[in-house]
Amino acid sequence: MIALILAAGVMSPQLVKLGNGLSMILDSDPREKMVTIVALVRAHDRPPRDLAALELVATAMALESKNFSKSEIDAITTYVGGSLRCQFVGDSIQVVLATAPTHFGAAATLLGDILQRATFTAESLTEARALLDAEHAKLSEDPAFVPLRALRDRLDAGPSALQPLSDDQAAGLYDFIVRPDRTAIAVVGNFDAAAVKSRLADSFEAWEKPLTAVRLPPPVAHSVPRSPAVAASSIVGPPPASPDFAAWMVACSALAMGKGSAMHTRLRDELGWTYEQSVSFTVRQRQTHALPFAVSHAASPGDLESELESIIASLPDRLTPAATARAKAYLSGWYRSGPAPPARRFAPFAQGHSDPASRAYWLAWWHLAGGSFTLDEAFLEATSKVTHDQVVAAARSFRSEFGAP
Amino acid sequence: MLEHLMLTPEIEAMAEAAECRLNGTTYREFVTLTVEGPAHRWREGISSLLQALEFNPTEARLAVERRVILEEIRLQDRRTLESVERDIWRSFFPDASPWAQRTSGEESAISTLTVERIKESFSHSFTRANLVFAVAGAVKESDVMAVATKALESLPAGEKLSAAAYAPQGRQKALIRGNLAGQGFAAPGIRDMEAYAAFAIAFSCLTESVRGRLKLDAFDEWFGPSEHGSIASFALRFRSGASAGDAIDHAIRSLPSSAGPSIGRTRRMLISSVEIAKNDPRTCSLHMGSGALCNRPDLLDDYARALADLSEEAVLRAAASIAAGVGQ
Repeated sequence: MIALILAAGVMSPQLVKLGNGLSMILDSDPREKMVTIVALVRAHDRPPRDLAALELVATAMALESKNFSKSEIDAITTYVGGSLRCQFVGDSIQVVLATAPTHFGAAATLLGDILQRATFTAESLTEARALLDAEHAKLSEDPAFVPLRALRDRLDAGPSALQPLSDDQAAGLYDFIVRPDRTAIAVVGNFDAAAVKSRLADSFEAWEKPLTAVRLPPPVAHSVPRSPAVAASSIVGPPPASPDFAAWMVACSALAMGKGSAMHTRLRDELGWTYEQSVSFTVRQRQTHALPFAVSHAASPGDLESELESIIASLPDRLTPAATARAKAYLSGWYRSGPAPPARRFAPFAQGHSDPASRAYWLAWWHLAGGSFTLDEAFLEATSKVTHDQVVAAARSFRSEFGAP
Repeated sequence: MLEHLMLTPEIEAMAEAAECRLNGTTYREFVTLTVEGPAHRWREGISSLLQALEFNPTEARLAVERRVILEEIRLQDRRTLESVERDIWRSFFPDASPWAQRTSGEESAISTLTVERIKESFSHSFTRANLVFAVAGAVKESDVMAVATKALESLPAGEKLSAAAYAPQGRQKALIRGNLAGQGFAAPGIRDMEAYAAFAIAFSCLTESVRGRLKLDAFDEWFGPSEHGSIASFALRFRSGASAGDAIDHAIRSLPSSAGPSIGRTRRMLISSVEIAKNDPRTCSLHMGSGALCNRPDLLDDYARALADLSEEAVLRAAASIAAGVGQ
């Protein structure tokens, strides 16, 4: 059964819900040359142990399936003239698949196998582990990567360190998490909506899985290097669907987003301590975490942390109407046109809407995290209506928690 | 340092208040200052960028930016493939050559820089003869020029600086460091676009072959097009136990015989990457600007045309030339 719901007053995008709970959001744009499909599987309610295992499962999902070997998956990806990436980032498993419009059917078949019929063997898990270790080694060249992972783990808001996983455990977790009612598939690009809707329904309508519990190995602690100094804090905020979310995000922007932010002004322009500081977001089921962080070779860890603490504490008093206006403008400019993240590591508010994959990501993300893809557009409007007083109040509510282990 | 000092906090705040983001990048032959943001805020974004041309650095700002650039260098040194690539590129030039230096400057040079020296560098290079202003996106040229002309015309005429000295020495450089390996090649300049495009296809066939021969944990490739002589390189991290040097050498030596079946696919991939670049305003404006500086204002179109028109024999000749450079 297919129920078609049109967004109020707008012909596109369209939401299609299948009887098994799978949501599909179709945004057809004939100006595009390709079709980009982003499937997100929600996992923002799971503990660090599960998230660590999901990192491995997500990487292994695209290596082999019941119907296709690894080389066949590679061949189909080449045949459809596109690219495939499957990973766990932030709060969800993400499958990103680009295809030529003429080959959408083959792409849908491949996506169907990855989401419904992935298989896990000792070989595929070993390969996935090697791929993940290599990726983490590369990402660890950024000194903030491991400390931020460790902080999220401690807050129950991100994966513990990678753990060994048997093929049975991987398959069990895959069945438990990768389910139609946890999944949103967004399609953006040049396609005929009726044909794509029908093709996706063919691939996913029969998707049903029994809900069976899985026993996973205990979590593993992160090993955090001591140098250089990295200060990171957590500020808890409202979930994305909350009416207070936009004001809270603008306050975070005033604190740490852009070169006019309080952190950049103090840590870089006044002290010259750091080239690297920003904020990273993690969205959980009932709250959002903003993790402002700074890296410095020049400052001691203690000095960097106390300076960051002081910037956060003094933000409400430093906020002027001009600073609020800048923070609003920066946030909406970034949201509209910010670049895609390196290596396509899609995560909320780490990117804008600059390309089809990013646009598809945001549609699916808002649907899962906020309850409706229409919040993608509505977030911009809500941001524009935020008042200075609301931002000051949000900054006053900041209760930061320090202590990357 | 010039790039850091031109984008003052005040100018950056002006751009950000207009939903835009300012950034600078220093390459070996030129500096780019970019502003990007939603098309409907183009006027304010471009005005903030042009404001950077009213250059007036202070001692206090210089002292802060010295510390910031030293931080930047320490962060760069953590990126292992980038370090291999930097060492490969340096090895194409004599130690004393400015082309052998880091683009961010060496520590010793940064600590002795003065405001006067930086102002001199600005006057020398930021002239009408040496500055290219490129805009891409949903804007009209006439509207943009109505805003930009006054600021651009206020610059001195200057004399066109030449990049002729930027000619890599030697044909090929190799580096193995632990489980890291890198390989660099002197390539034709974009003055001879046909030879450049043939080299680009052959080089892509080579990287594909290398990636197929080794179990890799990381791989990056770079292409530095220049008017008179380009450099192409790749760097990789291989899994322990692999004999990476031998595998890479073998891939290079066998390129003339192995490239054939890959040429068509590689050619299509490169043409497609040009299309992608033309549709991305940031990349497109960067290519228009750097192309114009290298006397090749229609760089992307010229490149796409050369890629499409090349004969397979021309690519195989480029492959033979790459193979002939092993060990030299």
